[in-house]
Amino acid sequence: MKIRKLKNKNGYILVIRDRHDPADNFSIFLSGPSFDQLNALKAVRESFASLIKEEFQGCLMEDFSVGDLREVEYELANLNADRIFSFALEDFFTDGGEFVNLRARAVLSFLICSKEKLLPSIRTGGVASGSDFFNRKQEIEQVWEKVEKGFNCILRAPRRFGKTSLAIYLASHPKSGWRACYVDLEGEQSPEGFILSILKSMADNPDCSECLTNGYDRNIHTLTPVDKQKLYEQERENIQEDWRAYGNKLFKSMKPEKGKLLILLDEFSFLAENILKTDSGKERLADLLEWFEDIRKNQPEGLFFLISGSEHLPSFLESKGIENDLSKLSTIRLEPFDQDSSAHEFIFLAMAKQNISVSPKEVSCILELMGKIIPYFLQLFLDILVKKCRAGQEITETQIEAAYRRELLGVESKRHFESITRQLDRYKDRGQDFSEAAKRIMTRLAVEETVEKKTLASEWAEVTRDQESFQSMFEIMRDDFYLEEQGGHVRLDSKILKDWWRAHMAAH
Amino acid sequence: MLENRTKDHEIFLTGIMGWLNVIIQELNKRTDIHGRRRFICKLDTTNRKKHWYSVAEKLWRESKKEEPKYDLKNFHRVMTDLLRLRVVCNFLSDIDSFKSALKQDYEGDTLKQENFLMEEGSDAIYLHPEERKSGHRSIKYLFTSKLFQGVFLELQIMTLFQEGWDQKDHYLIYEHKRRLPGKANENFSEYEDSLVHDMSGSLFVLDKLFDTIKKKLEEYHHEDS
Repeated sequence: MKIRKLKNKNGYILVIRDRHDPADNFSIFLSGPSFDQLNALKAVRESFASLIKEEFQGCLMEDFSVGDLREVEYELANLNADRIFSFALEDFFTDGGEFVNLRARAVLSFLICSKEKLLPSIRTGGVASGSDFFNRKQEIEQVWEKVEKGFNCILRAPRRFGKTSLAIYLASHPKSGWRACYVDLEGEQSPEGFILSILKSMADNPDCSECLTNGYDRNIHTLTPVDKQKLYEQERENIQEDWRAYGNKLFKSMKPEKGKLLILLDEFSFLAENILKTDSGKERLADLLEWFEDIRKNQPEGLFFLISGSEHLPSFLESKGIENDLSKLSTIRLEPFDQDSSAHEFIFLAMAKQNISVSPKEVSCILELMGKIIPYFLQLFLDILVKKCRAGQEITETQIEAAYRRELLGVESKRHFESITRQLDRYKDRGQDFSEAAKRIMTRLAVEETVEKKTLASEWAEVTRDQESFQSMFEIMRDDFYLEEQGGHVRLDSKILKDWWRAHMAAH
Repeated sequence: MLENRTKDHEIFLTGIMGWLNVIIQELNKRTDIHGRRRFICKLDTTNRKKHWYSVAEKLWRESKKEEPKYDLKNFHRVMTDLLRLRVVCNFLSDIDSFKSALKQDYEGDTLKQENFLMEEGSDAIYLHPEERKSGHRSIKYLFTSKLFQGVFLELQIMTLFQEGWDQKDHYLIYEHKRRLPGKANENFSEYEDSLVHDMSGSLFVLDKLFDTIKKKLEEYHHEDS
């Protein structure tokens, strides 16, 4: 893994243009190949040309020698100078000299789809949007396909898989004929809060506020922040009088004149958990779910919902004795990055943006160290590797391994794992010893390959003296800590979390 | 058509440009009198591939010959000036420095020798105007790729003055003469033609004078040190 030396301003450029709109283009610049690389350059050009011919027929490729990159935009017509991406020739080859088709395909499929798209950045912890949002094409297509067919959907995945990023992407890139409203339910603790959040999100979104009828000001989004606040205060009072009636009125008022409206309810699990913590929480949550089920059964024409929540939200609710129909919604599962393609592609492209070459062998080393690829942890590790590489110009596989053990799992990265310890603290709200019991279970799973579920249940009961709470807490833990259950056995399905737990928590 | 037939040419061109840039960067790092760096030479990559229009004209002219050397089918593998690069030097003596760096680098690198042949052509700097094909005074090299059959590249080395002359001549005279070969005399009188040649000669005299002054100063500083 090394910093690319792209000092040469001469080289070779592959310009990929939209067949119907040549001004929509991006370029791959290969900096100054030497004479021993001319055959490799030829192989790159021919491989890209054949990939485009076979898989990206909406595009055309032109390729040229470049005398001076700084002048290339004057030499080539309509060249988008903001979308020239520099690569080293060796980026596209294995150490043994084989062309890596996956990488060429990754560049093309990532950059072809959008006029503005750049290479992805490493965004540890933050929402990945714009160019940083990576490779969820299949899930995006699934969502639009399902809602087009008239289904409401639930997006399910454990923590840190990128549900929020996907929901925000869907809201900001609605399919033609659709408007989409993103609603963040984190922090809401009541049915009233649920309704008000939806109203606020609709009102703040100029595209969606136009869909509000029946007494709502269609230009609500143009109000000043102070006036908006006043309005929300007033509406809050109205909601509190009778949230069901207000909610019915709000949803009935949603009439997209042209096309359809998708409401994306993110962090639904947090809302459910928070309501449960309040007085009569179980009843209030059951009421809300029942009412919301009715809303969906009689929803206005053209209105659809996508609920984003943790993987085990329906079973968690069931374990609490709350009836719900969430598992009957059309499910879209967000999987971790698969090692063979998505993860490799992301590492390659994100490192290219940092001007760092990473060989396929080094990618395999990173992936092997991490096990199941959870986007958050992958970005964390890449961030560390970029810093190390910048400091030393180059790092070897041994140093990558050392960075994993000493830095990613070390004290320096402690704050990045704080969310894990915070989750354990959250468990205290549910029962005095719940946090301690969860720690005990995690420690057991961190040191053993698999543990019988009934053994974990006994451990839980031993610490909490509350056997009944095990199943519902187990459902939460599955999402929080990537626990997998199979044939009555449970295992911790994240190598990095397992390694981290062994290093930091198991000893305490 | 030209683009599709010159893919290998573009790759060869990329390799040669990269190599020449390295030599030029090294030369320009050299310090001169007063221990300061000065401009020695630069690579001019504009017009590095013949325009399709010029190719078509050349093919048309060739077709008029009794025994044409190339035609529409094979021109891209026979024409030796489809690719052209130019190295522009400050002083006449810098041309020598560049030439010797080029030779030394090529002869010391088997990889390059395996990749292409380098032949020094006629020295048109000191050639009588009537014997020169073009008006500018330059040294030409021909590179022949061994990796890609029938791929050639012409390298021209000249001074800044000659480059300046060529830019004006090319626009005012060369293009017109080439397009109207039979009517050259109607468009340009003998007087204008000789005037343009004289200007090239005058610039050559200036180059010689500058070189004499440079040499004298360098000797003076050498003795002084």
